Amino acid sequence: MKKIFLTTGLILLITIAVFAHGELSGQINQLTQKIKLDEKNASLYLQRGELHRLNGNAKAALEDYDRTQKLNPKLSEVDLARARLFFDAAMPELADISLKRFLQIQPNHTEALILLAKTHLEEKNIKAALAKYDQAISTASRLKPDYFIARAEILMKLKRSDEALRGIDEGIEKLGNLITLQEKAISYETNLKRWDAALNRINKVIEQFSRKETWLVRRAEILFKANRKDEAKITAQEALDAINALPDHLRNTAAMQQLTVEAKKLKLTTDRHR
Amino acid sequence: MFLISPRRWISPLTIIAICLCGAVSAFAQTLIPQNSTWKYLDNGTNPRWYWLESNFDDQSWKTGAAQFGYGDGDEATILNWGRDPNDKYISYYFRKSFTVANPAEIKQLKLNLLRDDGAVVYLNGVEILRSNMPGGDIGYATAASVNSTDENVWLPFTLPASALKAGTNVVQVEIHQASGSSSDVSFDLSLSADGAINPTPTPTPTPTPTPTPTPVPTPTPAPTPTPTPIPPATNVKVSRGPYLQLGTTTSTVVRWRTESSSDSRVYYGAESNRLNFIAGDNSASTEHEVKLSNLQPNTKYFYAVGSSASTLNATDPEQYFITSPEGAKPTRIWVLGDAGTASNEQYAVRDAYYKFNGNRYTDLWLMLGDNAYNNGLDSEYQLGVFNAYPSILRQSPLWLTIGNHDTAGSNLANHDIAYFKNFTLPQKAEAGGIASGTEDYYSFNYGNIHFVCLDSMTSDLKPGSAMLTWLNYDLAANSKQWLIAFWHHPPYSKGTKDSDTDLTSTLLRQYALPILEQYGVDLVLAGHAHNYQRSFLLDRHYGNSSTLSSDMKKNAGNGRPNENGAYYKPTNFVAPHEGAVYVVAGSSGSATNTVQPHPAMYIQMMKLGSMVLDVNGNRLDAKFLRETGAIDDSFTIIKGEAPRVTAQETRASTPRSIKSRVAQR
Repeated sequence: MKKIFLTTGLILLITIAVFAHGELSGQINQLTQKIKLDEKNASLYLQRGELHRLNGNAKAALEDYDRTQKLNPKLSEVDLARARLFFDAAMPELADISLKRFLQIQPNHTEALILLAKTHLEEKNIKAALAKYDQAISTASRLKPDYFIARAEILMKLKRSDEALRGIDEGIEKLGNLITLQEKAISYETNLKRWDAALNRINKVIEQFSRKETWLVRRAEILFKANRKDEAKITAQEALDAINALPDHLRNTAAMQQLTVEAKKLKLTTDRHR
Repeated sequence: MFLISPRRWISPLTIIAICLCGAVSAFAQTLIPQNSTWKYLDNGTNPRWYWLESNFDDQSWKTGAAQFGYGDGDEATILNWGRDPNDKYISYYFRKSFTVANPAEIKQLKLNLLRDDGAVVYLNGVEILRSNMPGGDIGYATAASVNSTDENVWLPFTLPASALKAGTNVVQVEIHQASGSSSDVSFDLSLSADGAINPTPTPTPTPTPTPTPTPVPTPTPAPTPTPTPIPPATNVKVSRGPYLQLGTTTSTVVRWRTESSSDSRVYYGAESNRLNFIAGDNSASTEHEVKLSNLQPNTKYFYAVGSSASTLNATDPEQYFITSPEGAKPTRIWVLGDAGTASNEQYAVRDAYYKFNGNRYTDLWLMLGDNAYNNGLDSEYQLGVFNAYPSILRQSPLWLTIGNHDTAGSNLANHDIAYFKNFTLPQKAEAGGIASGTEDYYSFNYGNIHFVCLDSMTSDLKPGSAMLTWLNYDLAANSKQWLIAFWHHPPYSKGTKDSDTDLTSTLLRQYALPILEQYGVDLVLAGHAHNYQRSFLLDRHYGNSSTLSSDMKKNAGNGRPNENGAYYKPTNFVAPHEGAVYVVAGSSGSATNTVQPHPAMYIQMMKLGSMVLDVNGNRLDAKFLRETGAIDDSFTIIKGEAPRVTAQETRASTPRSIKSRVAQR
């Protein structure tokens, strides 16, 4: 059964990889020549294995990884290479094994931790995925907003919204008041009907940027949803004023025209609901 | 890190004074702004020495606003050059008064000079600066020593305030041509004062660490060059660089690697033999990274790297950079895709550009991913990038995107790979745009261009992803005239690399292109396919190649002014859905991927080459420059006005004998 699964996965991998990367045969040939001159050089086999993987030849890649490991059992990167191959081939259980072996040697390797988190998600092991994101975030030498968002999304699925928002705020603290993180947090707060919290976040964004019109419209929308119609109307007018204050070439873009329509619509709607 | 820079010069004495005396109220005062009104003499007569006298009456001189000159098209006041175009006036004279209440409060002067060809500057009749002029006495007929090509560059100088006096002061400037047949002349000057008022004595000297002694600038003692106040050169070997990163209007990052460990210093200044500013880092390392801050926009700086004990390449006239301009400026951009093969093919492409470019300064250059083969290892970067392009690396900032070979094929970003270790890219909107929080994808501004770099290798490309969310907001805030985007995987490609079946290409087309086109992208550059493919002016083509309809071609011509016309975009700024050109330029290191016809492409060829972009106001000219020096494709985008064919364009070399628009080598 496992063999059938493996074969199916490898065929899938080959399909994806051929489309993704095309031929690398020239480089593979060059490495083969080098290997002929230096047959016991494990890292040459690993390099060639990686090229085979990129070229969609999973079988050849795995053979080279095996040779690498026989020649130099201490070369742990071969497990990470295998894990990438298995993950791309939709074989999370094999990726899981390779990654855990690799992480025993390099426990805080960010790529391996993120890959293991994704592997756990494939395996529907949500809590384990969360733990790996936590570990990656706490140990990564350089962070990326995507990590915080991925972790927050998992927490939201688990209905642990406070933790999700705290996680986003951790990202803001570490990476700065990024639009990508605030945007995500505002959408969470709004979905949770935490209007004041959402408005506070929008105000932080407005403070930061010279172009405020988009966020003023967003604030007006939230105020409207929060049934604070008067404030919504005032804010919609502020947005219109901000748009009108733009130079012609910026005011006349489709995006600004669309925003103008939205702001006017909000103003009208608030009047109607009064 | 400490920093001593042109805008906020703090001498060691000042630092000690601050420590000893407590509160010092510093100020900066503009004495003569750019574009000021001056009295000037442009009638070819000799004012002898009288014009330097304090009581000289310049009422009979003309009055005009800077910039003065002729021949460049950017002058506010055109200077008279006489009757004979081959024997124009050699010298022009300028005077400008300003008042100073208390010269004792002024510690130093900051002077920025724009001059072509040479200049001598005086303050109250005392020479304070000489640039591109020979030594000895300067007369009416003395020619400049250099035929300057940096007429658009502001040169910064820091000068002592000793020649200032209370009340009215006069700056006098004489501009000299290198020859009577020179095609242009330029002059503008700004002057500001840095000072400190009323230090309050306090009895608590603080034993703070003293920074490396900083040379106090002295007035230019022409004709002999100022001895460079920097340590002597030693035999410490630079094994990488120097190379420039993250260039902005007011800063740049200088990086280099040495074989042995030391602290880091960059010595820099307006002239190669006057490197009178220092920035550095006191920690010992073989990897050196120093940010030069508080620079002037669009200004040329010479520099040398080293340590507090030694310099490694002082007084090299080719080691300079020019900071980004605040506004539009004729801009040359070199674009390389999949270049890092460390092969003769790569070197041939490089050499063809160097020959094509000549002495023209390359304002910035882009790498479209797969910058170092095969796995993006540090040793591969050494061969494929640092050893391959040393001369341009030290002059022009390089901006890169990540490709599949830079991550060894991993689609998860491991920030410990050489790509991230070797390069300093914006995360916090240091060079404009909106902060992305990551070096994986970012934006920056140069002049009137907004550049967006996406990560097609390791970042999520789906709607709502961090990168696309950021892209939306970044572009919504853009107010630059041009928008150029670049990343590794091509949204349109046929042949060995097929965008119809490549998942990454498909996602980019479906989710990134609509955002970019909504915000008026003009040009999209990609690599990955080792060939050259260039589209028509396209819009809204988000499906596979079979879904391309004729209305998606905003212009189905070749975009050549001298053939069937440039691509014309009606709005003179970024405007939605007016069309963009999509280019695959992945053959700067090898041309090994076949091409097959793609209906979006005007031209496709499996040939080596790189791209040269020239952006000048509302016009963008692009060329595909072969390794042979031939230009095998070109196109032009013009915004906001009907395209015109100039006589020069009619004469210009056109792509030679492109028998087939789909060519295999």
